[in-house]
Amino acid sequence: MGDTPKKPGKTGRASFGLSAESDRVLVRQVAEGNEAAYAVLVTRHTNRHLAFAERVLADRAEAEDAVQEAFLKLWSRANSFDPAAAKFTTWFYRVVLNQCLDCKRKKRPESLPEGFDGVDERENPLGAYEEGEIASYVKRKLDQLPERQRYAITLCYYEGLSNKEAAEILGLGVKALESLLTRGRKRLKKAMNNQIRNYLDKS
Amino acid sequence: MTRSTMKIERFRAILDSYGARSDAWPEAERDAATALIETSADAKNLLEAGAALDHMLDRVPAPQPADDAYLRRLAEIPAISGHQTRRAARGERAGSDDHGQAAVLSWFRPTGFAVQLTGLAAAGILGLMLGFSNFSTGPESIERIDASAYLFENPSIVADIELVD
Repeated sequence: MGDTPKKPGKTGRASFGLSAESDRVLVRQVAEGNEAAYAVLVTRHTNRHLAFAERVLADRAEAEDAVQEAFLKLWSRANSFDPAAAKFTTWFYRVVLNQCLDCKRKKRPESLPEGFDGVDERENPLGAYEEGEIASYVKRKLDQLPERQRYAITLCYYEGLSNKEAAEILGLGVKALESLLTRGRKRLKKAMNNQIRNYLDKS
Repeated sequence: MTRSTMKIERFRAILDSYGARSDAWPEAERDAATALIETSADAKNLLEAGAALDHMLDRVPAPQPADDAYLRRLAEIPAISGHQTRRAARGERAGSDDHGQAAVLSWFRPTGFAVQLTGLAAAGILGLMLGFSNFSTGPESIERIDASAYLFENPSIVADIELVD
């Protein structure tokens, strides 16, 4: 690819033959300025990383910004990816997570509501909520977890990554990751104790 | 039925960390954990209790996939940041210009785009007002007219103003 940037419409046709290539090959081509290879990576990885960013930031618009900046980094600094050191997805999760952390640093810290991890004392909390409210209740409890515990649960439970990959993304050892997961899940269990008991009684 | 090499304490620790879905368990310990469930009633009970939290976590809906407009915006990054393509061809990728990247991103963001449009419109109105006032005030207003024209021709200045915030 020469100096002249391609028009966006051309990348679709040019990427046709590249869609079967591995991430590693595509990133190498992106480092050489291949827009079609970049377009294949966008198609292949956007949804996964956007979902991750949204879970980390708990805000769709901010998640879109973070992923956009991550792709701009991919386009401009693909050379910094070392295929011998990590899989592309692991590396890109780190890029996205760093963008999310930058975004959080720029925002003023929000204080947690009083009793945020307290137990719901209602007699029948599940019955008291509509289905949609249960989802937002659980999401709220997740969002209120300490950050690193939430990232660990997001990567292992929702993103389905192995413990080694998740540990690598968070810059931790596997034991430290397990400790975060255990503490996070314990906290959630405590916060949703009644709902969990109710579920167990029914099943 | 084979006897598992895993102790119940380790199985409990796995459930505490990874939950009850076996595909989330560490690969190296998955078979031993599965074998333990087949032979131990305690392990089965622990598994059931562990599944309750997973059930709650599964109630949270997955985030929506990206819409077409957003995917197009991402796909257009190379075309819009063309200067970086040229640097790439010269092998100057590493340590790219962060300020340039931020300026490109500010054009992509709907909010950034709106702010810049507003800035351009304001510069246009200012230019018109100064232009009209020029009829009455005479040639001493020429510098102010030139400044508004400069803003018109250099929208990146407006982007810079937004970045400072």
